[in-house]
Amino acid sequence: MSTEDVNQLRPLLWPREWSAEMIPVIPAREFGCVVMAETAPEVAAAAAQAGLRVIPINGGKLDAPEGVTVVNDGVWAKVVRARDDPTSTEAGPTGLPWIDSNGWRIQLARAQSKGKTPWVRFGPPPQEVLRAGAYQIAVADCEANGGRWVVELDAELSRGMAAGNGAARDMWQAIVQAVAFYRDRPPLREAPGAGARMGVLSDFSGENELMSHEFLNLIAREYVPVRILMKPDAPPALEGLRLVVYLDAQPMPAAWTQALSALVNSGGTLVTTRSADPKLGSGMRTVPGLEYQIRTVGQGRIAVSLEDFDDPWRVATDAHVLLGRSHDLVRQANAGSMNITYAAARDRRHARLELVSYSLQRALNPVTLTCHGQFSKAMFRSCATPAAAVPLAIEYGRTAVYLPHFTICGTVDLQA
Amino acid sequence: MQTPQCSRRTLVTAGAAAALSVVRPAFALAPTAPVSVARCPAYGPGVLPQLETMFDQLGGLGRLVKGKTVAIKLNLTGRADSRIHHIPAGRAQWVHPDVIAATLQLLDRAGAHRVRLLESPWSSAEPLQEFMSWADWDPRMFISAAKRVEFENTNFLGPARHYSRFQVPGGGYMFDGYDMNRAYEDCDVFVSLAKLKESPAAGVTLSIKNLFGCLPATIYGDGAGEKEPSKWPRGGRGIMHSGSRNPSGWKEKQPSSPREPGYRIPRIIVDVARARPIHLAIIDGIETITRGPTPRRDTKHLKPGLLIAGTNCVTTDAVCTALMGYDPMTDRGTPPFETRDNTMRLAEEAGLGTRDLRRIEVLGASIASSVFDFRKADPR
Repeated sequence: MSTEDVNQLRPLLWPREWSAEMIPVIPAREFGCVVMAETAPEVAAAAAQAGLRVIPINGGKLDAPEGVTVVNDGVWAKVVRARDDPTSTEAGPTGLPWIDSNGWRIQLARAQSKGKTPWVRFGPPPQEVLRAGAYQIAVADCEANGGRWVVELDAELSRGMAAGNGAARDMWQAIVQAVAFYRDRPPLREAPGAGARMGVLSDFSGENELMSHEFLNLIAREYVPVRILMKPDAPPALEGLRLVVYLDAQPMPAAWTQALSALVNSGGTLVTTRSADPKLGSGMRTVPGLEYQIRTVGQGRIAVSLEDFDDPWRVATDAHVLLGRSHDLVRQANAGSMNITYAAARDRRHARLELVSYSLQRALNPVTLTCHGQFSKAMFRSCATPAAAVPLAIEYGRTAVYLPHFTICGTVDLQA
Repeated sequence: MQTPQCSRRTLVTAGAAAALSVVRPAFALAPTAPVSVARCPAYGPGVLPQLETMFDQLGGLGRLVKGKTVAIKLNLTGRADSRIHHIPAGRAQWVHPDVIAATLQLLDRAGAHRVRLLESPWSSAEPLQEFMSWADWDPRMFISAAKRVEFENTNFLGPARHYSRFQVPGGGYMFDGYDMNRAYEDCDVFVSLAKLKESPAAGVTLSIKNLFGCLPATIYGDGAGEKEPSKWPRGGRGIMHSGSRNPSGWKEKQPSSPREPGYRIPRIIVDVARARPIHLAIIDGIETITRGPTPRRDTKHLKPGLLIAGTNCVTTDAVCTALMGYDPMTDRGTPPFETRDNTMRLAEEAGLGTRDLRRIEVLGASIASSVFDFRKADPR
């Protein structure tokens, strides 16, 4: 299959409760494939006849098509409810609601697999009554980040559909609607994070795994798009980056030191932990509120933490401050329960913003986005509404995009 | 206008002590000072000449600030990403950058040596300029407005080695003193630049309530250390609202007093205003919100089109309260003090100033011609 063909696939995990008669329920155009743990011949035959590719799970391992990488440790995407009060949300260190999202896992999996499309496996949480919107969020959380959820229905929904239950069928239609929304949007060549000004360098494994994974998770809540840089790889061109944070405790490889020295010499910033200090630069200053020693190198600077990195939230927020909010590509208002994925076209004349609302409730106030640069047109579409132009204004040199109320997910396409 | 001519520390303590000695025991003798009111329908270039006229009416800024270090406590409450509808914070719950920039220009023209912009941004130790950028403001608009402009996040220790201790002259209502960022001590003139707003804890959020934000969350915040200040600010100042525990370094004077924000917050902010006196109060009432201090359910955006300034925080807040359609002489049980005590009454009793409109000279536009009734605009 070509990359384009693979990108059109939306996998559905075939429910154990279903028989071959359920194949017609699956719209081949939207899904294109079913994933089966135990492939009954009559089901496989019916699927093939319906134009659905059958992808087997062998020994618990999904036999991914070419161009796909599988993420097995996905989480059910949601706002985390407070332990002591299920009616309120658990606040993260950000002060915003704590969100379980697969966004960072997907972006990391793509970087680790050199651009393959991540298929993320996770099932509905047991013993929870799910609304249709919860399934739509699960789809949106993956799709907005360039991945695909291997759609997995809970047993009650599967049984309800098999029994022809109307409520179950309605819920299924909502899932199909979300899948179709992402499938039918005009494609964007660039991957989420394209155009980012912050790079994150790590091997993302071993003793560096916790810090690097949590950093990616939390920097997303700062609404800062990042470009993931894999330490084991040779340094790529770093154009567009204004700051690179090196998260690992070990000294960086010589090739990376050289590449990042060039970035810093030309005006960029390198952030690193004390134990990985490349000992470059001269002069030394500190900034109140930041526990870093800042040295000048060429036209740029190196910020070396005074202590070893230990709190990923502080590292993420400090990196944001060191980058400077003037480099924010997007800022949000009233989107505290949302994540936003940013991708800019190479010519910077187009940008796409994917919004996923993890709260099933309608926000009190509509979302405003303010974007770096000046755009003349913004088209907004959501799961429930077709594409339509939305009002823009220039606020202090940034383009403010005034979105209508929406729930679950939406996409903004900006044009200069 | 009063001209501070003594040392900063003496000024801070003596100013409040003098005020206190004038009024006790009879609060009817609380000092008064004129308040200037101006109609200003919109932000933009019209703000500067309007403020200039108002400061002239008050006797001119020069006598107050020439050669001095001026600290301005801004009113940037809550997170920058909270908007009512699509309206930016500066046109809703925050003071507007045009009012800040115009004030800076006028202070510069009046000969201020340097001006420091102070605020304790929500749950953050980031530089104040960065916090402003979060709201899409460009801090360069302030830097270019005067010769020497500095910014300081006062929500934590900052560059100082220790916090400054401010004693409440004669003892406070809730605490006998408060620890704050050193920037509140390192100034000759202290300005409270606030928004014309309501407050669930204090009824109105004006120049006195604005000082609640002087208290660093490292000491007075939910994430503050119990025995010593935490390094970084985290969360709001819930322990001050609820009285659930003491801040490090201080014991509450009346631990058996009500644990309700409507009792505690008015007293705390009067204490702070006595410990760290305000020399100039400026209130941005051009655009604002109801049911402040931050947007919440049923909040409405309003355009009162008003600017107010005065050298006494109580007289200024009293005039503002009247301009909002409320009677500053009322108390708990009457709007806007339904479930809270009247801060101005407490301040008056503490000798900070009078709230009696009959004793306050209003310059510029009259109250009667300028009232913008908040409850008519947003009936409850």
